[in-house]
Amino acid sequence: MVQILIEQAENSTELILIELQGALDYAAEKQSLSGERVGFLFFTQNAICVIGQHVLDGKMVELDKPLLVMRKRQADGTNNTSYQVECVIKRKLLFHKRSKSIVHYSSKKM
Amino acid sequence: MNDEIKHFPENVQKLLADARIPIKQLKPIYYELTIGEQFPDDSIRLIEVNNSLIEELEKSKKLVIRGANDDFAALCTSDQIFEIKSAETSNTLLLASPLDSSSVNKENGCIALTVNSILHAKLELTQCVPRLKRISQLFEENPYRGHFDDDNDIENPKPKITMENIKSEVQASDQAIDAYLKKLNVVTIDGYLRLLDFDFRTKLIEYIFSLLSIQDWSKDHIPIDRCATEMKEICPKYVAKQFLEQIGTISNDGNSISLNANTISTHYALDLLRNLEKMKLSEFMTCWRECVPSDFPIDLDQLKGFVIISEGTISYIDTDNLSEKPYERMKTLFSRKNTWTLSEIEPFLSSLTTSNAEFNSLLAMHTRCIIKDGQKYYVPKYN
Repeated sequence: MVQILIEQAENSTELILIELQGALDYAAEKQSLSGERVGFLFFTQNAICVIGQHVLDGKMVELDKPLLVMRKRQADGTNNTSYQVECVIKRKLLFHKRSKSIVHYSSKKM
Repeated sequence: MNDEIKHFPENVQKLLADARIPIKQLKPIYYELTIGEQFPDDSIRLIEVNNSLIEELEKSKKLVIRGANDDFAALCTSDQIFEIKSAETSNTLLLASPLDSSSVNKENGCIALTVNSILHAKLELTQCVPRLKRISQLFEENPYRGHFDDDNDIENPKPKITMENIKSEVQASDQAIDAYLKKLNVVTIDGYLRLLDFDFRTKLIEYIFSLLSIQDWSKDHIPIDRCATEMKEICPKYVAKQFLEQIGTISNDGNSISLNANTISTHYALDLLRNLEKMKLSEFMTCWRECVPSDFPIDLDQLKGFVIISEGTISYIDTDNLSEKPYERMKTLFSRKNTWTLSEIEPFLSSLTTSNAEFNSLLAMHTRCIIKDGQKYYVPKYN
């Protein structure tokens, strides 16, 4: 029997949504991933994302329906569970094609 | 190497060359994505909304999710309600936040982006119908009957209901709840919400009519304050006042009401029918005309959604107690009457659907359409 509030956060943050086809895999032995580099984003007319040995072509697309980014705040002694809307996202960087692999040939030149 | 691209640091230049990305076409700013310190931030949810919800959020600064523990989660705005469902995606959603603008490394045009959440699902909303049935169930136990109210029975205390209780238990928008409370004739007594008992309402209406003739007031112009004062014999003035405002339309100056003819006529019809299994239609029409004061029109159309007319008989059906599950409701309706026209069945199904298309698909799923003497009828699909 609950009412959960969704409130506008006092300070909204700016967030960029990046959608990649497939999943990201990473070396499992790492305890924490903090500080690790995911990859690079470059822009031409479209967008290029380089992650590890993969190159992805994509573009900025407007979302049909906007997305709210909400942060859940667990119930504690005084407050009930609630959500804070931190950001409204209206477009995303979409990389929906299969990635191309980077072939290393530069080492040959050396 | 080309001068234009000198600003990319060496490792990036090498990467671009390896990846065979045509450097000349690149814009000078590029981004480096790094996993942030809060990763993985599990408290983040994405919810897909429409623009009207964004407007609502900006206006009222909040939305609300309602429901009992075994309900689905329902997002309610002031006038709409949506079912929340989680939709998984095989794609990966990264949420990246730019650090403050000082993080732009002017020299090589790199902007650092921090990724704190990687998600594989978002929440989606589907508009649904308010579930108001629980409201009448909450009130049934302890209706208000006027001065001889036994609410203060200390040995056997009755549940006290507040607006806050209702809002946390009922999956509906505020507007839908308010309208429904008015329809049920719920009033505020000592800070708690109470349903006016049906027979007590009959008594109140009768009393109002006797006052109309004694005081020579017009049914379209009843002074609220004076009428409520006169009614103190049967209930406190503030209760009478709330009731008057529910059964009539308040005048512009707020001092008088005009009795709502539909409400009055319907009340008398239900008073005749609610304790009977069924009644002959012709007999019912005579009785109905006899009980309702002659300056109130009566018409079977007023009873749409309250009664079932079949083979020359009329019977009462409590729509509020019909199941909210379409299959169950259809079963009940067809057990009461085997063939329905569209306009007959519509009032009993409209509270299950949000759009015409949904209404039609509900009919198509549960009924078969037959044509008899040029008229369309709906019969149950399966027996």
